[in-house]
Amino acid sequence: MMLSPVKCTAKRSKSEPVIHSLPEGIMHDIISRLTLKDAVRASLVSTNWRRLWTCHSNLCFDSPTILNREYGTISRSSSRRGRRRRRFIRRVDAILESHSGTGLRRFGITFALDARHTEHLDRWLKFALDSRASEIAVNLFPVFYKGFVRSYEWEDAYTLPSHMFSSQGASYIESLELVFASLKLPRDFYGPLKLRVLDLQSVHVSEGDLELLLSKCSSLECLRLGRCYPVLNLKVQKPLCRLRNLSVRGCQLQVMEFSAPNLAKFEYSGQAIPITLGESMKPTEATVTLLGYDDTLEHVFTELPKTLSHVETLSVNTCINTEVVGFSNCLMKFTHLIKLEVTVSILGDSRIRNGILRLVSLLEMLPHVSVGFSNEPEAYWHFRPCAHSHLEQFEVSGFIGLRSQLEVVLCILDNAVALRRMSVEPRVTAHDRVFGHLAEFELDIRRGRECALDFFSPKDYPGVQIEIF
Amino acid sequence: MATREAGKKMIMLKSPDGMEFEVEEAVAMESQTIRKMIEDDCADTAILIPNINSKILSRVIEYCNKHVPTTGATGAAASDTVAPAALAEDLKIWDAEFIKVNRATRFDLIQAASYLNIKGLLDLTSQTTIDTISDNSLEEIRSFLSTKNDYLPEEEQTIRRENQWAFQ
Repeated sequence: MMLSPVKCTAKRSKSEPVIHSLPEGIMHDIISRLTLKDAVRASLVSTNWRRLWTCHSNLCFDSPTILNREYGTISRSSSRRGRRRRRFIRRVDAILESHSGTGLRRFGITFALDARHTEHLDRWLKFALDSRASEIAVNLFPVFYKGFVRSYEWEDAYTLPSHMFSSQGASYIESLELVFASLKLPRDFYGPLKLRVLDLQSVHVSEGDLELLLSKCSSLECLRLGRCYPVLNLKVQKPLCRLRNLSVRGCQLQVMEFSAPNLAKFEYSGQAIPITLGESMKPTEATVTLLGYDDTLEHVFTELPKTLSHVETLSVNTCINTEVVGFSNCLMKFTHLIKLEVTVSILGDSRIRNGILRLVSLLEMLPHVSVGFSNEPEAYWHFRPCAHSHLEQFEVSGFIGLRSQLEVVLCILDNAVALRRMSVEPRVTAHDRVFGHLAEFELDIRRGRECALDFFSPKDYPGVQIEIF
Repeated sequence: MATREAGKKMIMLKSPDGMEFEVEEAVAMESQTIRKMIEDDCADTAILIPNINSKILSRVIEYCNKHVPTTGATGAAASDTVAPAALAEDLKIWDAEFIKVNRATRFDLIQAASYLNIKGLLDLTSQTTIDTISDNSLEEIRSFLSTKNDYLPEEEQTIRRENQWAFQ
């Protein structure tokens, strides 16, 4: 038995070993471990090194690399911006002109460009596809990444060449990340694609195209959609058996329907909509943020357990209206839940108790709790494993002494037999984290603290360590 | 399949200069190249490793021996064992010691690691070179690599001009 001999064409001098006597493949591997800039600089080492960088496997063009400029320093002068943009384009063109295309793995563009630069972007993408890059990342909105794209701005968005998805090069893409671009599939698109990661942020894509695309990506492991527009329904009939991570944020969805039997992590932020994730779904970790000003507690109780009954860690953002009375009996429970964190925005008249008291029913569905309320008003909770008999830790923040808050806390103190530790924090920690501390809350905080000191006496609950901040 | 009965199974590796090394199969399989041969069942009793002399091959085996996941009763159990942080720290120190070799040996090790496809060893052996290129001036890189600048001044100027962005 013998392995095939190593191909080694370089000459070897015994006394003076030199690095470029290493086989070409190894040199390319070493050079690709450098940044592109260092690799190009190294071309001046000697003539042997001159062409080495042209096999660099990672071509990522952004402002710091190409223009030596950090982000967040946008010039007000449009002519200066134009000059920079032209310089960026010129330099990228020159680099691609020299690069051999061999061994390209990742190709990335991070620069503010739009439909006006279609010609260049098309050419660059063609290079990436022809070179069989396995990772493509195009971010055309780097500075405003966190902001929303205004509806009129979509007209300016660069549209990816539709034939790109039918080209041979597309079958080599394993990871596609897009920010601020428009995606249209060709009419005759039949895939299949080998995509493992698909990340679309602020991408203009139609419901039909997205569904078609996803139906051709059976190897998909990670799907992230953020602020995509104008998608309305997200329905994929064909099961995505390899999907492990699913994140959908800020999309104007009305329905979400997936079959993802092996999903492990789920994240959703948006309106309270029906979510179906397939029969045998067993995600262990979920984060759900329900946006809007309607009372969504009922949705948390009745809709979420339908798809997330197996989660072990759940984080929920919801909204309570104090005037809403009761809710339907929930048939499903979070049977595997170990840790729950609930952030509640409380709206409505603070004298009315009904809405907030509904929180107590969470104990019926759940394990170990830690709660928090606020004046904002917002409640903040943590839950630990199921049922009253398991609740060991309970934290409340934003406790300002509202009658309803008081009753919820007393109810937990009276009923949670395994409770070891309870902490009451009058400040709105969730709010402070985001907006900083506001002086107007001082009065409420003092009232909350006094109320807590009056009612939660360690004498009455000997087994519980009560902390009041 | 052969791979599942790991543990005690031994494999003979032969260097071109006639030395033979008997190693545990699990150790040999740190090399993806050898692993593939074993999994494809095209490895019988001995595997001849061309172009890697016994001195280098013994160092490579030394590395693999150290880095093979702690062996349990079966191959499956071995992969489940998670190395604790202390063990990882210990490995790091061992690696640093291991790589204190002269340049010729290091290049030979790079080549062996690449050919046998042992990612950890390739990372380790090429890191010094990468660090030197990233952190030093051209003159320093040249002296580290024992290379002379054989560019004509005008050629050098052209390269600097063509890739202005990288030299700013």
